[in-house]
Amino acid sequence: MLSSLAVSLPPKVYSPYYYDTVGNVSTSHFRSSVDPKYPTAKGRKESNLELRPRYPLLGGWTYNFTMGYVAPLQDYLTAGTGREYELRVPFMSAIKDVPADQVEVRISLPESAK
Amino acid sequence: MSQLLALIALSSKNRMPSPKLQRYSTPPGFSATHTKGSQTIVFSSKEAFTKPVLPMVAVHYFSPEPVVAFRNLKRSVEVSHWSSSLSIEDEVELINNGPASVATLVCRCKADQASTLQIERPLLSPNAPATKLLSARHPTSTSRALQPSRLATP
Repeated sequence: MLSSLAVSLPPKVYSPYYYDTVGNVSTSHFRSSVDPKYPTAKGRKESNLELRPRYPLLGGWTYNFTMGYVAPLQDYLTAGTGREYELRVPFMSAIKDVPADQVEVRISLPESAK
Repeated sequence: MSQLLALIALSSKNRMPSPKLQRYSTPPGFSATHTKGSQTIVFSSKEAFTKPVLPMVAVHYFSPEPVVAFRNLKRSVEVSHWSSSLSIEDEVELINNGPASVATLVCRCKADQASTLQIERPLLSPNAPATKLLSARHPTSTSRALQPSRLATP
């Protein structure tokens, strides 16, 4: 029976959200890698997001939800020559060791990007 | 290559994924040894075999751990130079691929089966030649999960 999912997000991640088809799911807990009381401290190597589905998942049960977060761009973008940039983005979800049947990744680049 | 017909007695040690075993079937001609609470069942043949055999063993064991999988994952990544941020959104369809409950809250006598898996695996490796050793090695696992109704209910 699955009652909660632990997601390890990269450090310096902010504004996570978690909602499903009914609405926002409040049963989640986010521990940032940096304590907001001491913003200049080194902080942990990762942030933790613990998601609890609306109902526990017994064998064979499914649950649809949407989760998201915002990360600083410097960790993923490196400048190339001139106006070229190299973007490296994690392909799979941050939930570890989970196989997937179908994965679709859409990357929206800024306007007038070629 | 001539096939040697040797008289051999076989014994196979099987280590199950979980120590809590519901029941297991013993193939004909074999006797099973299993200490309660142990993960290992040893099947030893009572008499020698004259021709190659591939006996099948069905084991019903307890496995309450969830097996999380994505049926569908849609990841949307947006790059914004204006706010210097990368926002990632995951639309997830999660499924628990662990053992399914047979009857959801209706029949209490079957609630026991809700956390159990059954596997069927050959007792000996299919490639083991008949002339080999006295105690067979652990067979290569070709087990797969069965529906709960495969084993005869006690």
